[in-house]
Amino acid sequence: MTLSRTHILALLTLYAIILGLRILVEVVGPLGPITGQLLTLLAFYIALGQAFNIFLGMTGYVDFGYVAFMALGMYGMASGVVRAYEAGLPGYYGIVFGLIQTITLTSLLALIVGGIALRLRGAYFAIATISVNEGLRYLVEGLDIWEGSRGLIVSGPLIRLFGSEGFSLLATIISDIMVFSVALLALVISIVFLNTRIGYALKAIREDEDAARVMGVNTTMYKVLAFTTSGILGGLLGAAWSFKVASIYPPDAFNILYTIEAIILVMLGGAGTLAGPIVSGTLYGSLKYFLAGILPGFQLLVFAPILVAVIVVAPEGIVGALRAYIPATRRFIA
Amino acid sequence: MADITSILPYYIISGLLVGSIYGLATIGLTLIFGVLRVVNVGHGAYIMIGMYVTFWLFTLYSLNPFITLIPAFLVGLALGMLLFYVALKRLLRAPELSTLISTFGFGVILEELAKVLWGADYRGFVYSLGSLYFQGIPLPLVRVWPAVIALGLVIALYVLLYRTRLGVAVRAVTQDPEGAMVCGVDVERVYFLTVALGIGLTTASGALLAIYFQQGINPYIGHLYTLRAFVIAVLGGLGSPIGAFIGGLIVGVIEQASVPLFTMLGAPNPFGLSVFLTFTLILVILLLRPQGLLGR
Amino acid sequence: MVERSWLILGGIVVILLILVGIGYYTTRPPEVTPTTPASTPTGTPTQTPMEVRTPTPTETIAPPVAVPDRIVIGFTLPLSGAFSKEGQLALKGALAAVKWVNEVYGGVKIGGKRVPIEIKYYDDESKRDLVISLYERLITVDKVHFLVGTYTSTLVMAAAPVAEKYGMVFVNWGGASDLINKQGYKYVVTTWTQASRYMAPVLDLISSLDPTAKRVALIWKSDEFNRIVMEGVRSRAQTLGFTIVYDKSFPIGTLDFTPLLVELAVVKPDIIVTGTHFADGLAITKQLADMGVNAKLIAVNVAPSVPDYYKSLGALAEGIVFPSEWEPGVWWGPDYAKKLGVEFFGPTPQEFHVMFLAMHGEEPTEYSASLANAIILLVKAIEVAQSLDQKAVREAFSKLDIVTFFGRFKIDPETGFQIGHQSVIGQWQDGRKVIIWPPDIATGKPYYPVLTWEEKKAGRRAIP
Repeated sequence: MTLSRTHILALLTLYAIILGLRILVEVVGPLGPITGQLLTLLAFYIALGQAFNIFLGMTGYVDFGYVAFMALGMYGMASGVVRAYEAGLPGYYGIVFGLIQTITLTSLLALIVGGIALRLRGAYFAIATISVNEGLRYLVEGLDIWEGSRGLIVSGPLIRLFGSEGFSLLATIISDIMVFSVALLALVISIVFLNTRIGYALKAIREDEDAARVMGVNTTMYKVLAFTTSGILGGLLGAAWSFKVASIYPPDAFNILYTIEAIILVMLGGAGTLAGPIVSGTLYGSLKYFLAGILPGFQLLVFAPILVAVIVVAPEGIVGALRAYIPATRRFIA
Repeated sequence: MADITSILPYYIISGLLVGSIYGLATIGLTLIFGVLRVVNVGHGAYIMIGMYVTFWLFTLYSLNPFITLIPAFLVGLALGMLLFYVALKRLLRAPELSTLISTFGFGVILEELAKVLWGADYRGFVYSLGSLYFQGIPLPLVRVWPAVIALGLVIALYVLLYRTRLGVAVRAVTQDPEGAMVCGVDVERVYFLTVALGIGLTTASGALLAIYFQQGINPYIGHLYTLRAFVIAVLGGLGSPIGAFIGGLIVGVIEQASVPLFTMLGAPNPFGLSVFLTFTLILVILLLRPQGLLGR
Repeated sequence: MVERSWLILGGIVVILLILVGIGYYTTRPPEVTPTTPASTPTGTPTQTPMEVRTPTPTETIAPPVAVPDRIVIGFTLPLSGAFSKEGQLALKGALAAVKWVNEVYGGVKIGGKRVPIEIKYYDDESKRDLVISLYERLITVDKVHFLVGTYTSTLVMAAAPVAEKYGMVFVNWGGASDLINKQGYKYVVTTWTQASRYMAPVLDLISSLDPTAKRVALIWKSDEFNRIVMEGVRSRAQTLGFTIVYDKSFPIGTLDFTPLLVELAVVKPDIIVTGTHFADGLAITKQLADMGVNAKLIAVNVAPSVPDYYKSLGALAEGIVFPSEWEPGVWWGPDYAKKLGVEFFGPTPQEFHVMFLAMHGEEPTEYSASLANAIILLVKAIEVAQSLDQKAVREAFSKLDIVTFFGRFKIDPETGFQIGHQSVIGQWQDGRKVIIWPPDIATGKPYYPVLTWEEKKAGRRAIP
């Protein structure tokens, strides 16, 4: 699909609504039950879906180890800050160093895994990536890298570097800005990809990789490009989130549930659609958030059947179904 | 610790025993994948159900745990049918990945139902048959028999797949669904029976795991086995049941025997590294032989 | 044909599940005491309303402006997901504490008025991402007056920054990691014994029992909690002159300990100390028995303090030693307070025990007691501060040196680290948990050396 100006405008409007709400909440306080952190959680899910969509949605490959990028992002940022603290450097150095580490680590992982494992197809690729993720986790634990299983605690160093106020600012406003930026960046990159030859190449790969190769598409290059982009965005999201969770434990950081969440976000909205992650991220995040209060202890029992029902009724995802059944929406929903 | 290496054979036997059950626990996953091209992300939930069936029938009615294998298998069959009709049938022609969500959701439903019905308690029972001695170290019979039964079930499955009409149909659909349909195979029926059989074997393996470990049964215990099953399935070759069994044996032996080896090498955290080794091995095998050990 | 078999098998599964489920409910033995009303099944706090409100107490005096008509305490709990067991146990404790404060005590004494408390809670699914937004919801939307923590260090670590941002007092009753209070948070107050001091008293116990038992083996899960626990045990071992002859970890998610236990059978230590949680604590005990690994004393972390442990292991649990923050039978009562020369506040341990039994039909556990204690301490701190101002209440916590049913409370004023409370050591003896350490509150004598697995299988009980 090619994106018209209307499509892009509609996407940016959707995004702007959430961002606008976030800013509004920051200024006037929570609107009913809608708090700033809820909106940031939604943005987190949107960013996760959008970033993963660049790879999964566009190429059709399932990266079951996607969470490894987030984990490396978290570790990259957190260890950067901790190192700066230990070396007695000002905190800003730590954050810059953390960002550099995040990008280096995630792109390195993406290039290595992408270069090697992307030769595999379908479920083989999926499980190879699981192995990478679990392998990394047990390597961190087994060899005591980044404090190993004790967990890398970043709140202490942050408080000492930036003071209590500074830490609060980092854990809320600044990391919120980062989360929203990653979401926007992922959206913009998706738009750019789709509107250039990259999008065509990726679509060709998704529909029929062998045919694409025969037609002269450098499939490996495009796959690795999508994989790396998606991975770095995941890493940046992890880096932003590390300020919020303030501590990183291998079993949490490499928890495969994040990958499954990312898959749900992409598929629920509609793989390959750009509005999909925005819709599904909002839906998924708010369902969890509100059910947590309405039915504490039973929300998954309500949530899971909804998930199954939606996907059984609309296997092409919410946005996919909208486009399929209400043709008029195709003009502005991408 | 020289005397530890001398008991390496014990580790290997122990690895083969546990591996045999791991293998059975993976066969359902690989069978369903082979025939339907569906990765059952909620695989562990069915293992958990099997464990609970054994646990409850043993604690409430003092049924011999080995007999509970039959009800566990039947419950699995029924759950498999339910899974097929609710979550898979309509999605067979849908985008490939949508089944990831429906199977995941179905697994979560089972886990949460188990939590509501039976509570989040960690449960267990004690059932003992005495021990064999191997190298002077006890080898409890409650670990030997489940492994033998798992082997028996795998042989039965082999006979079913290679000696019956149904088996021929299943294999035909695995290789070429459209071709099979042209030849008059009722593909949907094969799909249906495969899912039922696959889940049935999974719950049966859950029952065997319950007899093997007996402790720590809770609604979320399946998670421990889902990942392992994925790995074993790929090791053996996705879609190959016999490969999965052999993969299980290999993973079992690695898990057990690499601990003393890493200890000898002086690693700070040998157990953690042995898991790392398992996953690294998978990567290496995937790269050298992407179709797995016994894959086509 | 397919349809029919599907119906039949569907029928079978329904019948079997009903059989198992109903059988469970009907054959369940009454929980602990017959004096209690119909007990709710374990692990299903379905019937509990989300908010517990009570009618305003009778003795109302003209209210000053600043005092609200109820004080709301907010928290999240892992009611589903990996820590749901602990979360559900804790919730029962919170309900008991609210009942005590409102109905027995009569409400918080503030501004010459008695104000009832109310709790507001959400299920955080054992997920850190949800913890963050739910705590903010408690603070900004529900406008709760005070916060208490959630269960387990990883979740507490995610919640604490939110509380700090809004300058809310955060009473941590469920995060045992020492590191929580080393971060420089100003508003985090920890109420229970933290990991490094949790299990070390086991070694004091052995020193007092048998000066010849010196060879200690440590097997522990490599998670942050057990790691810090073991660091504590190791340093105590050094002080007391023990030799650590075996010290190995296993990764999270291990249920098969055979490789380590085989090595242990070769090493033959005097004392085995395991660092575990529930599932692995159960599994490791069973496998020690399977492998016939005997020692003079076996201490297992976390799992044995929950009654399920004995239920699922039966006689194999006899003689197993465990640490606990609190146990029914640990009567840190007014006497203890008098001995220390400090004030006693809240229900006496016996009172709490009886009330809890009546409410929930089961014995309280350390999780139930710890959350209940956090709420009771918060009430005390509010009374001392005579204010709902967060800073004032935090100050009050710093000054408190007090005994509750849970034991002593005294924090390091700067970090909020708990220094007053101490864990106890219990032992399963003839199907009962007996407190054997520290000696001043012990309810029985230790059984030492413990029975071998063979003796236990032959039916011998650990009766000293």
